[in-house]
Amino acid sequence: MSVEREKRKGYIGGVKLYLGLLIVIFYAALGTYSMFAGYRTSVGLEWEADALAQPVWVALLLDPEIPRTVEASLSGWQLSQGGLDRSRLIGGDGIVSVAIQTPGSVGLVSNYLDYPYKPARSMVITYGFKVFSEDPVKYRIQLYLVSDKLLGREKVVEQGGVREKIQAGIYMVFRADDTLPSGGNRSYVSSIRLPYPYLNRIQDPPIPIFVNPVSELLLEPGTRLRAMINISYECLGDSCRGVTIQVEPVGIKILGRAHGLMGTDSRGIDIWRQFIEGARVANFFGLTASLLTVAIAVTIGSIAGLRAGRFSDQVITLLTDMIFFIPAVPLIMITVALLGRSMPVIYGIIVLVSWPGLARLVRSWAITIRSEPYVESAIALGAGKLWILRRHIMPRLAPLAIYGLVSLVPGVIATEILVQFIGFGDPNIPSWGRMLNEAYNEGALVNGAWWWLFAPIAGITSYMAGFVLIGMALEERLNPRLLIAR
Amino acid sequence: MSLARYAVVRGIAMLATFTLALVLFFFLTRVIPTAALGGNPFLPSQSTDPLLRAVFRASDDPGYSSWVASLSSIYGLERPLLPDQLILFLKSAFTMDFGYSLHSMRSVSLEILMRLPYTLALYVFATIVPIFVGYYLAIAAVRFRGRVLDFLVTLSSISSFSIPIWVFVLIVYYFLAYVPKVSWGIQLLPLPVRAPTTNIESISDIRYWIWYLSPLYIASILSLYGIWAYFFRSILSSEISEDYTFTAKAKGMSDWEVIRAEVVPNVRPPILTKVAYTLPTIFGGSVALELVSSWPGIAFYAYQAIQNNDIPVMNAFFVTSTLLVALSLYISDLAIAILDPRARHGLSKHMA
Repeated sequence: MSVEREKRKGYIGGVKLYLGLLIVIFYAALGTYSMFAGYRTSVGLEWEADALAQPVWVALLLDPEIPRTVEASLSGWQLSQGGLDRSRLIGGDGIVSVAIQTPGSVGLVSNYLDYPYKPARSMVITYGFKVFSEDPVKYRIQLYLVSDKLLGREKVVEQGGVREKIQAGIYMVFRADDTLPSGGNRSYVSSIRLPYPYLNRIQDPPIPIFVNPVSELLLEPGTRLRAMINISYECLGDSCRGVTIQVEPVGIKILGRAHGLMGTDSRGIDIWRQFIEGARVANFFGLTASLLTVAIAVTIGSIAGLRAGRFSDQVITLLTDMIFFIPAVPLIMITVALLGRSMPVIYGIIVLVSWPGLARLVRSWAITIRSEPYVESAIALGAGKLWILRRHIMPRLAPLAIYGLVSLVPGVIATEILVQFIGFGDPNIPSWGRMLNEAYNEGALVNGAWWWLFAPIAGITSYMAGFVLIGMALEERLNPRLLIAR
Repeated sequence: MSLARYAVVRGIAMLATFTLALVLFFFLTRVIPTAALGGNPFLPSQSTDPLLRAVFRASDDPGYSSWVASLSSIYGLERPLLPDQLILFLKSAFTMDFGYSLHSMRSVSLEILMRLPYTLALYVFATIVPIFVGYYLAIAAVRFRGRVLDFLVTLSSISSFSIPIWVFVLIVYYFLAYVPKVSWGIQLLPLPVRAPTTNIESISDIRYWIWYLSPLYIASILSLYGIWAYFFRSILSSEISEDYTFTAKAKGMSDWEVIRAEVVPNVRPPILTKVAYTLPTIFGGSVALELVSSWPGIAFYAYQAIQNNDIPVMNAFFVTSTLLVALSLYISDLAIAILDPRARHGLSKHMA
C-alpha cells in the first residue's frame, strides 16, 4: 500500500473524528445554552403560537403573508356617547374603574390594534372585571371584540336547510348576568382561547361551532381590532347609590400560524425550545449513565482479567453472561410499571444492563496486558495485585475506556428515548423521546405536521451519529488492523 | 468434545443463566424495592412489596377478589418474599403457569402462546434478513475496495446504525405511507391504523398480515443492515490482506473466488459471535416496533397489560422474552460450534 493512500485513509479517519466532535460539541453548546437562556421546562406553557404552526423559514418560502403572533393589551378606555351623563372614569391608562350613578347602560371603547396579516385562526383573550356595589343590584357586563372594517357585513350559514345570517365584525367574548347583595363584590378574571366551542353560543343568534369567529368574523388583512364593553344595571331595592366596575386591560394574543425555527406542537408550544431542552437532557443523562457504566465495566473487567481463570473471574464472567441475557426494554417496562416512572430508575436499569459488553472487552485486554513480560517481571519482583492494576493495567485501559464511553452513549440515549417514546418515561423530563411520543400520539403524522415529528428525529439521529463517528475513528486507532487493512 | 456433548453442556449453562436472570429480575423488581422502603423480605406479607401494592391497586374492584385468591395460590403473595415467593415464581416460570389475566380472564400462557407467532415473525425476520443484506453488501464493498460502491456502503451503513429501528419505522410510515397517500392518493404501504387480530380465518387475513408487516420489515432491514455491513466489511478487509489470500491469488484464483472460497469461511465464526451478542439489542428493537405499529405480539400485549395493572401478564412477558433471547443465543452458539470446531474445545480466538 502506497504512502499516499495511507495518508488518504488517515485523512478520512480524521474527517470522521472531527465531524463527530463537531456534532457533539454543537449539542453540548445547545444544551448549555438552554440552561442559560432562561428555558427551564416547557411543561405548563401554552399557546406561544397557534397549534401546529409552521416553522418561520417554511412560511417565508411558501407564503410570506402567513399570520405571525400578534400580542397587544387593549386599554385606553373611553366612555361612549350614551354614558357620559351618568358615569365617570377613574384612573388612567392601565386599570380603570367606571362609577355609574344612575341605572341604565354605559359603553366603553378601547384603543385599536392593527392587524396586517392574513386571517389567523385563533386568539387568546385575557380579561378581568370586578364589580362593587353598596346596595343590592342586578347587572350585566358584555365584552365584545369589534373589527370596524367588517361591521355591516354578514356571513351566511346554511344549517339543515335553514339559512342564518351572522353579523361579521363583532363577536361577544364574555357575558355576565348576575345579582349582587348589598355591600358585595364579585370578580371575573379569565383567559380564553377562541374558537371555543361553548363560547360560540353566547352570541345572539348563536354561532354554529363550525364557524370560526376569529378568521371568519373578525380578521382580515389590514383590519383594526378593538374591545367594547357594555355595562348595564338596575336596582333590586327601592333605590341604590350606583355601582363601580373595575376594568383591566384586555389582553389579546392573536396566535400566528408560523413560529420560530421549528414551529409549534398541538398545544402551541415552541418546538425549538423543547428541542434544545431535549439536547440538555440527552447530554446530561446520556453522559452520566455512560460514565457510570464505563466505571463499572472497567472495574469489574480489569479485576476479572487480573484474576483470569480463578474462581472470582468465573463468578464475574457468569454474572456478565447472565446480565447479558436480560432484554433491557421489557425489564424497564415492567420495573417502571411497578416502581413508578422516574428517570433514576430508568437510567439505573440502563446502566445495569449495559456494562457487560464493555466489561468483556476490558477483561480480554487486561488478560493480554497481564501476560506481557514487563508485568510478569514486576510480579516476579513482588509487586502486589493492586499495584499492578493501578500502575500497569489501568493506564493502558484508558483509551479503551474512552472508546467505551463514546460507543455507549448512542445505545444509552436510544434506550432512554425509546422508553420515553413508548410512554414509560418520566413525564416531567422534556426529552426528545417525550416530544416524539407526543408528536406520534397527538397526530403529527395525520395533520401533516412533519416539523413536530422530525425535530426530535433529527436530534436523535444527528446526536447519535456524532458519537458513532467518533467511536469509529477511535476504533480504527485502537485496532490498527482495521486501518491498515483498507 | 463432540457436538452433541457440547450442545448438552451449553444447554445446561444456558438454563442456569436463564434461571439466574429470573432470580435477578425477582430481586430487582421485588426484593430490593421492598427492602429499600423499609420492609423485611424474609417476613410474610410485606406492605412495601411493589407487586402486592399493584395487586391491591388492581383489586380495588370487589369483583376481582377471586382473582387475587388465584394469584395468591400461584405466587404465594401472603408468604415471605424470600425464599417462598422466589421459588414459586421460578416454578411458575418453568411450568409456564402464570395464572389468569385480569383483563381477559383467560390463561396467560394461552394468551402469550397465541401472540408468540406474531412476535417471532418480526424478531426472526429482523435478526436474519438484515444479516444477509449486510453480508452481501460487505462482500461487494470489499470486492470493489476504495471505489464508489465501497464508499456508498460505508456511508449508508454509518447512517443506518446511527438511527434506531423505531425511528426508521416512523420515517417509513411518513415517506412511504403517509406522503404518497396524501399527495398522490396512492396507498403504497399501510399506516398503523387497523392492526390485524390474533385469529386467522382466511387467506386474505394472511395477506393483510404481510401487508401490515411490510413497513416494519423495510424499517428493520434499513436499520439493521448497517451494523452488519460495516462490521463484515472491516473484518473481511482485514482478512483479505492476510498472506493466504495472496497465496491464493498467486495460484491464479480470481478476486471473487478468493473472497468466496478462502476469506468468507474464515470470517463466519466471528460474524456469528457478533450476531449472538447483538441478539438482545435486536429483540429490544422488535419490541419497539411492535409498540409503534400496534402489531399484536407479546410486547404489545404486555404494553396493554401494564396499562391495566395486569401483573401475571407482565411476569409472563418478561419470562417469555428472556427465554426467547436465551434460545436464540443458544441456537447461535450451536451454529458457531458447527462452523468452527475450535469453539467446542474452547480454543477459538473469537470466543474471548
